[in-house]
Amino acid sequence: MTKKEFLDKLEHKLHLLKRDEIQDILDEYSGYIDNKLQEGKTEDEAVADFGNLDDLAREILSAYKINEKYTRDSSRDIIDNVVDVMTQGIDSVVSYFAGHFNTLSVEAMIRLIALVLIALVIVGLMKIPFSLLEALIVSLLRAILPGFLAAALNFFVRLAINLIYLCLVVLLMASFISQGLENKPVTLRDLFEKPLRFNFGRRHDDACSPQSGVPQTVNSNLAKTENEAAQQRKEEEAFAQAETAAKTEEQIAAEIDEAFSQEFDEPRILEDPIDPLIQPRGRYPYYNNEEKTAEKQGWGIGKIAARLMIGIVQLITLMILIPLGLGEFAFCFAFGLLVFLLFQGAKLWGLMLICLGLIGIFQTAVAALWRIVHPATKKRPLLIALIISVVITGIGVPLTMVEFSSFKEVPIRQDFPELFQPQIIHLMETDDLDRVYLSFAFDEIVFRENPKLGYGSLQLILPPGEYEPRYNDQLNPPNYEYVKTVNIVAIHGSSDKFRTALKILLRGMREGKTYTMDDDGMRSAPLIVEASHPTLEKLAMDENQTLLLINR
Amino acid sequence: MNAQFKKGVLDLVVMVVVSQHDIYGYELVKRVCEVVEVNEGTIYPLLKRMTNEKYFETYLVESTEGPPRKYYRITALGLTTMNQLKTEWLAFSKQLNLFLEGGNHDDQEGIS
Repeated sequence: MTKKEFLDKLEHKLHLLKRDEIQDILDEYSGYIDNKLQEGKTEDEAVADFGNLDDLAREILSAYKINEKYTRDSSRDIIDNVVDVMTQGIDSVVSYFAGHFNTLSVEAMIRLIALVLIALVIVGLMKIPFSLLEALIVSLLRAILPGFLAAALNFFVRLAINLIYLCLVVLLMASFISQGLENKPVTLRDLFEKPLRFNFGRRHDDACSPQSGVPQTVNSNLAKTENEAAQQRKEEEAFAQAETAAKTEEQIAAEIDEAFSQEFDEPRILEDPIDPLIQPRGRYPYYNNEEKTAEKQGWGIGKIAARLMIGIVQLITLMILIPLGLGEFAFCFAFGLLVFLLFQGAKLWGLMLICLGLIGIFQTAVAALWRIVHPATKKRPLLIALIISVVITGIGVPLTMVEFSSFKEVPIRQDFPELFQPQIIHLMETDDLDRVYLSFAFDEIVFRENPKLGYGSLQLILPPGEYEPRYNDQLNPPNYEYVKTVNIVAIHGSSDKFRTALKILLRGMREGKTYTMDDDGMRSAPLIVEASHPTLEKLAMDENQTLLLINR
Repeated sequence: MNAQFKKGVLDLVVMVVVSQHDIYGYELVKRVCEVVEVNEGTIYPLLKRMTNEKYFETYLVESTEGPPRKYYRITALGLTTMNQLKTEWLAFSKQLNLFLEGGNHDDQEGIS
């Protein structure tokens, strides 16, 4: 690690402190490193002298009386821990096998093969719940999301599930194989607990003691770790034996030991800031926190694989985050609309509460997920926000129901008579026309002429607006065999429609009404025909009042 | 040396070193390491903590070789605490030495 890397990492870990305090600390350490560089050390060595960076940061924070529990950026920790655990797992597997395959007897080989076969069966069985889960999620996504989105998301979900499965398989296989390699009776407990404990390599915590100077990388000690570990174990045993021997021979030694542990042990193990830094040198049982110290600096296969998997998880999170963010935006928009309605006189408090609550819930979800994508984000109390949002939504839902249930049903014609104003069509007679049928719906005019009787030249003066002709030969009424139909359809301006709809909606909300359409009202908009007198004499309505007949 | 021993005396050592004359961080680390072999990263948090507890005060001095150095000076409270710690340590170590040397003797006495 270079000086800059060290300072950057330290800065990140101290992010809770005040800016100037952090700068002060960084200056101090930068000064130490500079001094050491002047003494002819390399940057790597100078930085390595500080020992484990996590412990160091914890030390510094504890000097500021910041409880570690509150200082830890939990998401960062999760990722760090996952990386560490996976790194250790994968790396130690590699080193373990490298050490063991060389010394394999025929018997052990047979046992190993048997175990692998069993493992394969278990792996096969394990696939079933995973397939079920996968199918379930995929079908669920298909059901709730539009096609293209579901397809994209499905891909990631499949990928994630299969990756998890793959990891489990690898761990299981590794566990079985490692059991097969050891010359011990195999127990079920060992087989299944091992992958969870990641202790294939059994690294000693001396691995990154400050004494070792240059940080040991994973790759450099892959092969020798196992030997080392074995040696360490022997040493430990010897040490323990010596201790017991000493105890039996000299009670005093034990008493001193006891006196010391009584005096120093209790308040010290975790709370004292000095301990974790000194501890890598000691070889005492309470210092065996391997996960903390082992292999933080390495960039082995394990770490790369772990980073890769975390990257994938982050990508998937991002994919989930986008629709959530859009949802939040939509609810913000809806909330704005409700505020607008409020100014228009429509008081929909329940809906506003629901919107507000949903914005809160979405925001919490987005913030929580964002922490996975970008772990450096500062921690905010999400749980409280979530609870408040849920409560607000919870109040909003019944309030909305009450509000809407108090709405009266009113026929639309009553409040908007202008929508049902009669349409006036002017007809002017010309000579050649025999028969003209006009049928009217609310927004439709049917204009028919009979070619057998000669093409008419009826001139329609339609109300202002746009019209388009619509030809429809198939709907000829059976009685008029030779009728050619021309439908002239009025095209209402869409802006008009929107304005009208908005007007109706607003008024309904303001006055607490829901409007009903009476079909009759729509259909029976009266038609007033104005025509010259001779034409009028020939006009007759059909029985439905929808066809206008002009008789010669 | 036993980590537990180190831990017990490190505060005292740092205080004594600062009380001899005002001193800046790195020099202090070197001085302390002459007496007790410790990880260098350990010292700064310790200094920080003791400064926060008002045992030390700090001031900046321009340096010819780089940025200004932060010097530590012991306060009256620090001196009192140091003397107290020192007394305790001396009494404790004396007692312990006596105990270690005369341990067997005491046992015999106890039996008789």
